[in-house]
Amino acid sequence: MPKEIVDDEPSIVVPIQFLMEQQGYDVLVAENGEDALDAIYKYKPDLILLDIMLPRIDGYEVCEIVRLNPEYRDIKIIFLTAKGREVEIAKGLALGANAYITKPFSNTQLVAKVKELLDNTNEDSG
Amino acid sequence: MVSQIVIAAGFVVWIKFQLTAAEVDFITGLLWAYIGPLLVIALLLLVVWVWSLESVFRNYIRPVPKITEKVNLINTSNPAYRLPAAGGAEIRQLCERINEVAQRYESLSQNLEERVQQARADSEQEKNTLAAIVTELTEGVLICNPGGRILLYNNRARALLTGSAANGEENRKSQPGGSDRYIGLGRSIFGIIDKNLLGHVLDQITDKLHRKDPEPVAYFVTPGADDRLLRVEAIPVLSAPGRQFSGLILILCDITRQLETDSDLNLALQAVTRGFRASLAGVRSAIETIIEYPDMELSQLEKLKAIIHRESLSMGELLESNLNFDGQIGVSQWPLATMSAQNLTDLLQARALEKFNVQIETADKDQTLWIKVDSYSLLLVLLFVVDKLKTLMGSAELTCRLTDLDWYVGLDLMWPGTPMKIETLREWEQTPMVSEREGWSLTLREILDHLGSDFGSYASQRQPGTSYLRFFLPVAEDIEPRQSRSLAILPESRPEFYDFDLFGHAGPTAELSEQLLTELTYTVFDMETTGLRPAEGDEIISIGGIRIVNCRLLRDERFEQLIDPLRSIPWESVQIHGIHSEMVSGQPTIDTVLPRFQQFAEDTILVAHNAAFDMRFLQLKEEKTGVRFTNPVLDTLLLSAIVHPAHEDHNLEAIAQRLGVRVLGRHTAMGDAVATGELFLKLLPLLAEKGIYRLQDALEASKQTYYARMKF
Repeated sequence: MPKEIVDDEPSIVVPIQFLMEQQGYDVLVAENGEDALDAIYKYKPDLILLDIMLPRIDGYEVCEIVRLNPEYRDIKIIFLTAKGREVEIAKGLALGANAYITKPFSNTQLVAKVKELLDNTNEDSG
Repeated sequence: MVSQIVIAAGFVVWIKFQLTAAEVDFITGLLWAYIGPLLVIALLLLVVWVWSLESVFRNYIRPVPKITEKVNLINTSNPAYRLPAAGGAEIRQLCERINEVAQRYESLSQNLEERVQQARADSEQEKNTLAAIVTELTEGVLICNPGGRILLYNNRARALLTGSAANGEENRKSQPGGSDRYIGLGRSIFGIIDKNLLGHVLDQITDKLHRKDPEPVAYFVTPGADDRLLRVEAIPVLSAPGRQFSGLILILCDITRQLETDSDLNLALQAVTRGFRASLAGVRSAIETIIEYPDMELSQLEKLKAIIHRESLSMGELLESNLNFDGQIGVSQWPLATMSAQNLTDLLQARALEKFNVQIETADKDQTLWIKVDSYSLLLVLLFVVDKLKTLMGSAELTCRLTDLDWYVGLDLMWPGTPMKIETLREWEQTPMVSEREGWSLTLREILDHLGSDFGSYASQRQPGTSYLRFFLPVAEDIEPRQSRSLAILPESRPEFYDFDLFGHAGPTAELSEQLLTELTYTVFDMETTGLRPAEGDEIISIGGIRIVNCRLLRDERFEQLIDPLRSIPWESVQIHGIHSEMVSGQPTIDTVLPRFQQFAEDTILVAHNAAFDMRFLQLKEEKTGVRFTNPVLDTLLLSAIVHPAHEDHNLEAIAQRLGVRVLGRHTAMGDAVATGELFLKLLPLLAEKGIYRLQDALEASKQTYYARMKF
């Protein structure tokens, strides 16, 4: 059950990847929108940690495409981004993301959220 | 007649010389024999002569002074009078002609009078309309003449500059230690705005005028009342011929809030920068140490890790606490107005139909969502998008819906089909929107940023197959009640906020005494006291004052204050003026009030009834309050004595009755002041009849009247 991290900044990717792996998750990393979509298509992750400010195809698009596809309806999306203005949060959530975490964030908070969302899935499917 | 007698006498004498003695004797004897009948004939002739003389006199001479008098009558008091035809035929004719002339004169004056009335009524009407408009403007407007005398102002200007809605409020908060600011017609603007500052501004404007600058306007900032900061735009008024500087218009704007926001922003940025420097230093130092000394002691390592952790948290906190303006950073000087979202969609609907022939259906009309936006630029964006949608979708029909999103209102433009591609939205974001009206050009993105707004394209979850473009519009935090406006009913009496007649007035100069009484500014006042003996401990307990400018009693410019006398008020005086001790206890004392009154009466002539009494009180308070009144003083008691010397009673009621003035509020300071003011105005023309036109004349005449010899 892979989880995917999409962010173009290694300074975020490295610690989070490590963190998630410590929680026992399989982690995929994509550095831009297209790679992300490729990976989603290939591996169908349970959860995506999605940065917004990516080159070419940005996080909003990725989210939108994912949400448009009924096959990916169960994929959880958490926006993890420096775009912290209220209007941006509202916009992101309106796109159908499950959560929106602004940088800087606390690790515990992130992990808690991830767990929360994944537990729900488990409940649903279980 | 006389010449005839002389000739006859000469003839007799000549004959006497011609005749012999005997002949002379003979004639003399004859004369004596017939002396009787001769005398009778002579007498008869005399009578006839006198009678004819008298007839001429009666018919031609005597009517003349009468005619003179009557013509005088027509000329001065009764133009309708006509001369009766009397006297000789020529006199009669003269009378008739005079009557004709009188008739013509009468009808001409009537005509003129009517025309003047009409013109005056029209002018009054226009002035009232102007007054109503100016009074209710949201900006403060003030006009002054080149000498700095205020000609016009409105409520807002008064509130901004003096902090009160009406002058003379009893519970006005006076500046601690400082003097109160007063704004009023004919007052000097330099009492409120620094003279040097205005001088500098005038220099700027004059300079711009010289250089033929198309916008000879200057801006400056000045403190207003209640710690406000005002931004003032100064516009010159140029009189038509020769473009002479004949006045200055000041438009006042309160920028306190703006500045607060700006300075808040600055402070926030400063705090964040400083904080970040500090924290970052800690983090960097710690991590560089860790890198350089991989084998350091564990406890040391723990310490450094703790530092890094702590400092990064602290940086996060700094961000949170300081820069939580969120949508407000970057919203610079864009004026946002609160409006109902429904209002906006209605506007959009109308404009879309008008401009692009696109029908927008609005769903759910009854919502009470309020947004804070600039409707003009937002509409530009929305209309642009509507047009694009029409082209792309090929349909001229859209649905518009409003959604409550807590801190935002979503304005959704819906259409059947798939959502827009984000690339398209990107393209749109970069398109410049041009405001022809205001001449700016900003990209769609910039406008949305300015408004604290954003937009995105979504597929509808609720109605599959439909997509929408959602605009996030910031909600208005509190629906600010629009600055409360009173209904602009055209008042019957012109609200006294302006007097353009003052345009030419430079103001009181050294030649005050030379000025016409009708041109001067007066402060009419009256005081109530604890008793009649100023030198024996009686105190002032109430002062009422009102201004007269240009022969008008300005009811809005008044001074009314109860004063705590710091002693008891005897029963007899309470009976007269009705002011009890409870009413005055807690009121400001004379040493606070007199300086304020002096400011109110600055540069004016003081007028009071039986002024000697009041001035004596004021004089005795000089030492205590440090306030010395150097204004010229006129006493309506003395003025009445000048005008009606035959009468004996010159108390307020008697004079009021004589001159037809109604006294309301007798024995209250304000009521008496107003009555005295009205009396004074009625006395002015009567004084003019007596040849008293200038201040000097009035002062002189006052000194000479009998009553002036009474002293307190």
